[in-house]
Amino acid sequence: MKIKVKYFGLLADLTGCSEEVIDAENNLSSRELQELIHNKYPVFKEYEFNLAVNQSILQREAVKLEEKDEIAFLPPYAGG
Amino acid sequence: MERKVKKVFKEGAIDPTFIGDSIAKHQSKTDIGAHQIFLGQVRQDLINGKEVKGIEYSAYAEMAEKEFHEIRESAFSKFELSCMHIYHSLGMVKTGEISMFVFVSSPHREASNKAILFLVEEIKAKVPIFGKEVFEDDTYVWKENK
Repeated sequence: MKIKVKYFGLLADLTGCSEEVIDAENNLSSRELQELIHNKYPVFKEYEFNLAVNQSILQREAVKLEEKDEIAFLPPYAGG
Repeated sequence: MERKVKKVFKEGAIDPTFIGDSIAKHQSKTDIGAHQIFLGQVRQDLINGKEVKGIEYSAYAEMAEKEFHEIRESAFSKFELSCMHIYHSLGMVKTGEISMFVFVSSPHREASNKAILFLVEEIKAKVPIFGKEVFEDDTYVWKENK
């Protein structure tokens, strides 16, 4: 399946893009996606970030991803 | 009652006259006895010997609007408030300018006093807003809320 992944802030600087489409196996889990992204961008390991699926931050749980899901990698916030 | 999602983001700094006008508009709401206002101002931090000239804000807008809405709903259910307004800048805000304006009103002071603290902490912790601290030479570092 193809999943669209968004990157924000510092993470968009590291990837050089604000979004991209990733080719992945069906039934990919959020944890597997994180590994895939870590392999694609090893520099991610040096930074803190959260993964949001459909605009909700995943805590420790792993979820199955679907093609229609909105996935975003978010660095620490700076609002206020 | 479900309130509609309000627009929070404004392009550039928040003008002090907009803040003054917002206060003036509440004079007709005579059930209000107390207002609390929080204004976030861009600070001229010195980082590795370089002065910050401004912060360039960006956001995951769809998620941010959703989080702002949930924070608003939560504050209305926790505290006895008459009304609430939240604005946050996107794009460049120069040092000394206002980047966030939170305004709560209540019949009595306790509710708005508590609500303003709750709102500011929740916004800083939960809303996906990102900021580049830009220096005079146009280099930058990514800011992180403490």
